[in-house]
Amino acid sequence: MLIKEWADLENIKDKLIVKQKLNKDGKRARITVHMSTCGIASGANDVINTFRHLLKESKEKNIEIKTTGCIGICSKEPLITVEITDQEPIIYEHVNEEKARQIFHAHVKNGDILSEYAFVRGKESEIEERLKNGGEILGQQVVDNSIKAIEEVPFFNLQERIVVRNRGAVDPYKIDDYVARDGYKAVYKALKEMDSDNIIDTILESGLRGRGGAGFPTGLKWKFASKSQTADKYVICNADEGDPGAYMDRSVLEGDPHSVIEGMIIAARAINAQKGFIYCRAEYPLAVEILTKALSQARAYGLLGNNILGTNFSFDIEVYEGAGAFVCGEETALIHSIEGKRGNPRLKLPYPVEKGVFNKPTLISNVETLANIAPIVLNGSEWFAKIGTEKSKGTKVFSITGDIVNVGCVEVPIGTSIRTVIEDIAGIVEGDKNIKAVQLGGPSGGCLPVKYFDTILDYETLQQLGTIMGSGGMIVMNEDKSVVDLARFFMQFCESESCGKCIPCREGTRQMVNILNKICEGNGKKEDIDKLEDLANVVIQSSLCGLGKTASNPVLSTLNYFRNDYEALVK
Amino acid sequence: MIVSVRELSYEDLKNKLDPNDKILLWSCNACIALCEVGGTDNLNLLEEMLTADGYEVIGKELISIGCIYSLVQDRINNPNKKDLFNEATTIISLTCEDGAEIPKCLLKEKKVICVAKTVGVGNFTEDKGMILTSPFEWTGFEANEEGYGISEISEKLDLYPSFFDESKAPINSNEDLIQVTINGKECSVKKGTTIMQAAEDNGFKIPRLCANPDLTADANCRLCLVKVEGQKELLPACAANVTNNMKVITQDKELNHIRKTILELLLATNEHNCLTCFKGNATVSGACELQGLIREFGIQNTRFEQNKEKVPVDSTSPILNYDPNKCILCGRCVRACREIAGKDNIGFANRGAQTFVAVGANKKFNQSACVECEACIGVCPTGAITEKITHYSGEEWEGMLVYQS
Repeated sequence: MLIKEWADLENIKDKLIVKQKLNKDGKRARITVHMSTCGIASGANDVINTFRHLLKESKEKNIEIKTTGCIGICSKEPLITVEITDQEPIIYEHVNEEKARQIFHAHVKNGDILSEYAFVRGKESEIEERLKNGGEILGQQVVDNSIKAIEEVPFFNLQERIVVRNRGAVDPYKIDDYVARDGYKAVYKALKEMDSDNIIDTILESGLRGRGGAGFPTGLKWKFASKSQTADKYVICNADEGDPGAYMDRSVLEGDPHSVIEGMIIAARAINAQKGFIYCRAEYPLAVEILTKALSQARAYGLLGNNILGTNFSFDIEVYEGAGAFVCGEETALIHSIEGKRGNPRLKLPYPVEKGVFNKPTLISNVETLANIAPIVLNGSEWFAKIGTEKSKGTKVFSITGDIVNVGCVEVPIGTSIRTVIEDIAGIVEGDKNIKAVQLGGPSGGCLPVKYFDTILDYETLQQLGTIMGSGGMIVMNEDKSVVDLARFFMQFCESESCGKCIPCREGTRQMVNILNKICEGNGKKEDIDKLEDLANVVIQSSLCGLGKTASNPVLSTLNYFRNDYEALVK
Repeated sequence: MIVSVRELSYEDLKNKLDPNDKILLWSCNACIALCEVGGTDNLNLLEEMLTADGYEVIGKELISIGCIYSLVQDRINNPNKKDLFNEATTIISLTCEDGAEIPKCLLKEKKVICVAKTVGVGNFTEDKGMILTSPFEWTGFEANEEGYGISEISEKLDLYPSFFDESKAPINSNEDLIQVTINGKECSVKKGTTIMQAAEDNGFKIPRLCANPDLTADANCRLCLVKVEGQKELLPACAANVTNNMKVITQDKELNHIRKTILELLLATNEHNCLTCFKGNATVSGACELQGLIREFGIQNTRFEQNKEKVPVDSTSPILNYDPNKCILCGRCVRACREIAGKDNIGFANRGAQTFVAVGANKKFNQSACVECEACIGVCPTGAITEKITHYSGEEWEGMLVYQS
């Protein structure tokens, strides 16, 4: 079936809502297993297989097993959601085969909730509705009050969901699930009710900035790309997320691929591109699989391909797998990689919006940026511009790891303080050592000591402190951890991921690793610290691409805030 | 070496052209470049002159050796070049007469104009330039080991001793000139020039190891970084073009510190004996650009840990030795093999500090597609790729020359 009219989208939505509604006579129960890479790594495959086996054994026809993506709180995986007709959904944490068996027999079959295994009651996608109705959903009976309601958990209630709006609520393998959450309505609006200038103005006015790290105004980039009158143009989604400790793009791609595809179609319409690439790292096989499937479903609905929605606009997307080089996340290296060349960066002038893939104007945007587009187009730029700070609008997804309770992906309004994210949302392990620092922005970012935790998260503020928002990786360290070791880890990462093209990055990172090794092993001298600092500055000033230009940040920021730690290690 | 002397005057050349011709300039980078009729500079000059006179020059092609039939054939059939050769109606060949025969033969329907007359075989000398030692009979010269200089030959045979007169290259209009300030000096330079070229034309030499006039800029050695007013970051002079009213600083304390550090980092890699090689390395005839810079910057030591791991030398090629221990990964050979030879036989393998220059599918030279055109030898700035014929024939004066620079 080809979607052409607004009513087609509404029809799909209505049909699906009816189909998904549980009732005593038809489908009376549903088990949802959260099957992103984080879930699978913790054993979600075993869990879903157990349920399938039990269901087959029990010969019950009125129980449904469903999959969705990650709901953000990866440290509680494997997570499952059990829904019974007219009852509040229950989310269980750390499920294994044994627990799955018990849950199936007790809860799914007999309605006895196993509160000792339960994490929360209620679904994330229904939080707003629950808050409006005083903590419940009309028509859903609260069965077990001893379990915490989802809106009472700070991890969930302090978040603002735009990018991750559909997590846990859609099956990434089913386009109808996405359409039922008002998906592709923004594409309809962009193609049938707006022209290129309208779309670009909307994005400009929204104040959205690139979420890949640098924070360049997205609308401005689109404007530059739209100016060129060349026939062939490209839109690229940069899904080569490679910072150690960063996985928010993966979570979006695996949980809600259509939100990215929808953003790309709108971007293509705005700049008049005919072809798109999703450059996804090969280390994300599940994301590649899900994206490929999502693209073919979008094509079947006429949302990609020739004459989208019956208009004269044509656009298609291809998934392009990287070959494992971190540097290919750099725009110009990414372009070379798609062209089939060695993934080396080049001088950024001319910019990719003028000369990109195959020398054609190319718009490259990060996954998270693109996932923001559809809500902005649908809800308007004013709605978006209300969220965030004066210079940085909207939200940012952070993937937070380290010495905290809730490891996972959190989306908060820009301008939230570091303390809120770390202490309230992620939570500090009780009785644990004091928190010492947080590393923001991965190997390109910097390390901030605890005294700056009241700093708000936005592009400019963080830059002033010698770190960056970056793609959103956040690594929390307690007093047991050595920041020198952290600096060494990131330097080793940059050394092995340097493409080897320019001398400062290739040889400079190698020598910095040498010096850091010496210091960490107790063979360093005081002069080594100065030599390290000097070299770090030269590498920043003289490297060719972003990798080298930021490779020294972890070293310089730790030297700035924790020089004593270095001095304690040298003779 | 083949000795050729320019036969056509600029007027003669124009008489052979039609105003509607779509002209492709073709040159070989071997003997003819040393005879001062071919090579990049002359291609550029001729393009400027013809364009100023209203002719349409659609492209310039430089080939490492213009008399290897297969090499020329590859270039003409290269998918990226095919359109260019198809579009051209006229080829002006800055090659010897032999070299002009191949495009004549491969592009039968096109007009091929050969600019030079080939007079025999000779040698290249540092003091006299190209000399003719074994003249063709028709020239009337006797074979002579001392040889005859180009001016002597041209006088007797009524040929032209130099390339087309540069002073005759008119500037289209003042619009093509822009004002830049380099190290406080106000200069007018042509639009579209690189900062490096503009600085050099005005007497400021900027250090470089990866840039070469015959090759596209790659900006990887970072030695040519300069300060440009209003720019947050340093710009590579080899790749960034001048813009109107640009203010450039090519040298100061900070830039020198960066350059010194980069050279020190290079010294710490592989086996660079620049600091002890006082007579000039015999295998490189004293022409090592790295050593020149080390001396220019007065570097006497490296602060960094040296990596002494040695890799075997590849001496399988009949014409060259490839010593990876002296390679600085500037990529000139990689670009020369792609851009001048059109072979793409040399490339980078691995990444980061493990990067190395690989030949063929990481094979030895004699197992690869190398056609021995010498494009890589000519551009290598160190002793990594050297011509076998020069091995152990370096002379003392050559070492002195490096030291004086």
